[in-house]
Amino acid sequence: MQETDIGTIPGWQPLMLSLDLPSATVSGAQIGEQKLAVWRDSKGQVHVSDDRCPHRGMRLSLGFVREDMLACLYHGWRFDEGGHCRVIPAHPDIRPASTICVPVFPAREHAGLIWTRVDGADTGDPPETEWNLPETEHVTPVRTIMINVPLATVMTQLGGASGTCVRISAAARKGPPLSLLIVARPAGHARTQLHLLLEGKAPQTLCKQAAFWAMDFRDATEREYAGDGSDA
Amino acid sequence: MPDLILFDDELDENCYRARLAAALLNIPVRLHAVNVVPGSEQNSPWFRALSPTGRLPALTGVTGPADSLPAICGANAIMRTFSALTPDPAWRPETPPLVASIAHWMDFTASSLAPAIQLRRIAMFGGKADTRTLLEASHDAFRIMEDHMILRRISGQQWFAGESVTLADIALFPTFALSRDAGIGHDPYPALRRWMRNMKTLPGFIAMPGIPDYG
Ligand code: FES
Repeated sequence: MQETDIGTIPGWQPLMLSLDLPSATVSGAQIGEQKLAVWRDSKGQVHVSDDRCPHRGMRLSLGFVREDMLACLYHGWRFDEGGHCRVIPAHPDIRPASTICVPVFPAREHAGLIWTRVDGADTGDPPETEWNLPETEHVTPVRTIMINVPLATVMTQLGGASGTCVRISAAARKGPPLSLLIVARPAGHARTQLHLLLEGKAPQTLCKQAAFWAMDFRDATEREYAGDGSDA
Repeated sequence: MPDLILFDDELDENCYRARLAAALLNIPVRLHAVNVVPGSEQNSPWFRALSPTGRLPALTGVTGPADSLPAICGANAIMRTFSALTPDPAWRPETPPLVASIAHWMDFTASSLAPAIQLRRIAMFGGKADTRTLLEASHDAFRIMEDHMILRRISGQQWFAGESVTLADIALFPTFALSRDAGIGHDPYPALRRWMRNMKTLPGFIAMPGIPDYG
């Protein structure tokens, strides 16, 4: 579970909610030590690559998407979905050598989330099987939330589950209990990222309650953790 | 429109607030560059006569012919002045909840975002402070903004207050857009990232060094 361990994190990993990556935008993500640039082309397809520009090593996730290529912010080199450099603005007439490329990783979208794997394994089982998610797309994404508490502590708070994907029925501030699907990942030292989804097609009022629940849960968990720390 | 002069420092984010507001609200201003780094011109007698605390940005030409009275000082005051001057009444909302909400976020900018503004200033121009505490306070403030914009997204809204862009968005925008200068990335704040992109597509939007106008 500790991502700081040496070596590559195996299997599919959730990166972000699909809705948080609009068309023609790029965002950064990280799995263990592997920094990633995650981008969506104008046709809606998601691509994942290493975050290091082969030119001078700048972060590609700080760049932008142009003509369905990932462009580096610094000198504008552009990379296609296969990671090959296609455009070098300083040399518009030269076709970049095929050796100039950035490593790419497989990308999937399932259950309202963007997934990738950086273990180099042949894709094999899809994320839904590995993570025991509903096979259908019948979930409603709510939000991603960062909690400044280690994953193990968060999972204990969520009901002692040992895995990193849990289904719980949570009390709302108002209205009926919420059927939540929570996909958790460690995010650096003593931080946990929760992707929060509602089972089924949920209306706005339920989404709002789920968002409130997430904030309340985060604040309570952080308070408790901080209290623990000072007692120790 | 009176002859407005905006005393400006290109790299100062509060000055950018005023420039951005002028651009979006369609207020013609003449820029007068004040050499803050390294000139410390904000402390010179001529500038102190306009802005007694040496505060930038400063605006003259509103209350009377330029220079006859002290300037209007500070980003919030200048943004409000522009909203009073613009021919477009959409920048002067009157419904109490909207007025209140805009006031709330403008005050949040001046108070809760102060640590992030200071942190960037130190990263860019040097200075001494407890940067760890400033960093934590900056993250706390961005978290509050992110939580708010998550709820706004769920309600089908894309701006901080009301159904269209307001002074609240202009006030809040520069600090988040420039947070990378202070070492704070945008990835943990997807709702703010989306809002930032929407800001950049507004007609009349202008960038400043550190804020790419695409992306
Ligand atoms: S560092 Fe990416 S193009 Fe130069």
